Formats: sequence, structure tokens, C-alpha cells
Amino acid sequence: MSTRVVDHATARRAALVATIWVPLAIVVAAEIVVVGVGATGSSRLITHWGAGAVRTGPWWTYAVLVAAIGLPVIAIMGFFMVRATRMAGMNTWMPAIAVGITIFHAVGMGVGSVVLNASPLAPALPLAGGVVLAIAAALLTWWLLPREAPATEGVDAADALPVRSHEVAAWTGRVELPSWFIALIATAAGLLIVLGVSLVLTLGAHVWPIFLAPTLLLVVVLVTAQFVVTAGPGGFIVRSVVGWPYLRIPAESLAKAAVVAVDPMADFGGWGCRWVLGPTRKGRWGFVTRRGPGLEVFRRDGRSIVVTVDDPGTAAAVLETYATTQA
Amino acid sequence: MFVLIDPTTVTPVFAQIAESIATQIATGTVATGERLPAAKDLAGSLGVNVHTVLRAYQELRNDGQVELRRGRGAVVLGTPTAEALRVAVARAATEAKAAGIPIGTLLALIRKEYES
Repeated sequence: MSTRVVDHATARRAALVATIWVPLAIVVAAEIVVVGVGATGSSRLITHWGAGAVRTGPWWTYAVLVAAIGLPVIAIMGFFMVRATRMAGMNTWMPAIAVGITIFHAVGMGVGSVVLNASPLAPALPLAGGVVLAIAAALLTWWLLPREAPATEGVDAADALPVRSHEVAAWTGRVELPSWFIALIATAAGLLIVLGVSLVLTLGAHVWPIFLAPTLLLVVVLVTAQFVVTAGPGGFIVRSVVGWPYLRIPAESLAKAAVVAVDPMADFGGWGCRWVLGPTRKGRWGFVTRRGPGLEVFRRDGRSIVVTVDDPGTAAAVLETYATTQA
Repeated sequence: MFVLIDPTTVTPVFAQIAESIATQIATGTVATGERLPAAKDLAGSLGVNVHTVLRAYQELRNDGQVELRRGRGAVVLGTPTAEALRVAVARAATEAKAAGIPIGTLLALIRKEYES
């Protein structure tokens, strides 16, 4: 990992260059090679390799493919990265993924398929080579990107409650995905399963892998749809209603709790159950379903958990009570 | 939802939990239609037995404050009487403030009316 540590503005600039301009340069370079080879070589190239006869298409098929995949990928990754880097503590894996995807389709699938078109090595070498090059490029990008200096100022802890020693204060809350979102995903997965059943009935049982994606989708939604959050003398617990994932900070490792402003995209790169390196370069779990005030609970080692619960102030006060009395 | 109990007092813990929740329903902190936490979760956070919390929920149901539904847990019912009471108390408090009557006097007045 790069040992260069820079301020937020520099780290952001480097990340945006890696997410937008480097992939754009790769796409342009790939287009030059594809057009160069295509315009000087045979006018028709193989576009489908298969068990039977190969199919051919005009050489510019590849030029169109490289642009049609490359430019939207850059636009989407760029859009999210611009948002995700507004605040301190950004991800360095997003630029790496952008470079990796671009290398795979532009260099592997695009240039590789054109240059090795008539070779017996196609399409295996362009595909496998593309994967290897993409992983190498992604790792290199991740390694080269400068690291952002940890934020020095921490968040202010909430005030503890005036709880007497024989009293017990506890707080429970929930983090829920919006019900329309769950309904949307469940409907989509349901439709895919119905489609799968009809395909199995018409084509035979060998198409069973068609069920993998919708089943996985349903399981993920079921597991992350609702988290129960509790705070009390035992510490802090975040648990899915189905029992797992389960995170706990026992009272003795509780450093502090605070109300923080949460922007899921900027802080975690998206919604749901997330893990990132936080502004202080310590692990930060997020169970985030909306923007706005949330609860952040810190362990003594600096790692933290962020949850977008309602009434985070009371939760923080309860936790502060047990963080201070145990100290 | 926030609950504060004191296991060292003579009031049973289940009654304290029920009272704590009832107060929040009366003040509107816990809204109509809101689901109370699962008894298991609230019991875990307070460090009490799950049956203690279930008993508190049953108390609240007997008082018509919540509805216990299989699969949905305890759901807060709209209590028009609680809301009407809150409005009446708010008016009394406003009038007391306007007349410069201290809160101690207001509480004493309420107690006297309640016990008479």
C-alpha cells in the first residue's frame, strides 16, 4: 500500500483521476488500436466463437462495443465517486474497480479480440488475459493511490444521563429498509423465480442455476431488511431480525457514543450494511438506510458502528452512561 | 425506545416498564401504530427476564394502550383519552405560566384535584 499520506483535497483529486480520467484514457487508447487494426485488416471479424460455426461482423463492432461499455461505466463510477469523496474518509477500492473493469472490457475483450481475432487462442486468451490484467491493474491502482491523512478532530461524545447507580437505563431502536424498497426487490426476485420455473419446465432441469441470483437476492434482502439496535448496561448490540449479522460492543470496550450527520453515499458508498475505513482510518461499520442524524458508537480501539436510528440522542446518552461508569 | 427502571424499589420491575412506556405513549414520544421492541430485545438491553417484559406488555394491553398481535408484536393503539388529557394539562400549564404560578403550586393543585 502506498505510504504517501496527503490531505483530503489531494486524495480526492487522485481518486477522481483514477476513476474518470485513467479509464477514459484507456478507452481512447483501446479505440485507437481497434480502429487502427480494424481499418487496415480484414473488413469482417469474428464476433462469436462457439462450438459450431463462428459468426462474423463488421470490424467496427468492437469499436462500438468498447465505447458502449466504457463510457457508461466511467459515467456511473464517476458520478458515485464525485459524491462519495465529498467528505473525509473515502474508499480507494472504487477507483481500483473502475480501472479494472475498463482494462477487462477495453483491453481484454476489445483490443485482445481484434488483435488475436483469427488466432486459435481466441477467445480464451483475450478473456483470461483480460481478467488477469484487470486484477493486476486494479491492485496497482489501489496500491498507487495516496492515502488520506486520518481526521484529527473526533466527534463530540453525548452527555451521559443522570442515572443513579441502582437504576438501569436501556434503549432499543430499529434500522429498517423502506418497505417500498423491500417490496420492489421481493417482486423482482419473485418474477425471476416464476421465469425460472417456466424455463425449467420448458428447457429441462439443467437450467437450475437460473434460480441462484433471485434466491441470493431474496436472502440478502431478508437478512438486511431490519436490524434491531439495543443499548444498555450490557453495551451496544446491532442484530439482524433473523439473528445474523450480529455486532456487539460490550460496555467495557465502549469508548463513547455520539450523534453524527450521516450521508450513506458519502460516508459508506451506499446504503445498507457496509464496512469502510472511517475518517480516522479505523474500521467503521454502517447500518445506514437514510441521510440525516444517526448514532455512532466507538470502541476503545477507535473502531466504530454507525446506525441511522430514530432518536439517536437518547441512545447516545444511554451508552455514554455506561461508557463513563465503566471507565 | 427508552426505558428506565430501578430494581431496588418496591414497585415490581414489570410495572415500572409498563409505566415507563405508558408515559411515553401519553406524551406522544411513542406514536400510535408504532411497534414496541420485541420483548426479547428489551429484556436483553435491560438485563431482565423476557417474562418480565411480556408481563409489562400484558399490563399495557389490559389498559387498552397496546394491541398484542401474533407475528407483529405489541402495537401502540391510539388513545384519545391520553391525547385529550395531554391537551388539558398543556392548557393548565400555559395558564399557570401566564398567571406566574410556579410549577410546584400547579402540581399541588393537580394532586389535590386527583385525590379529592
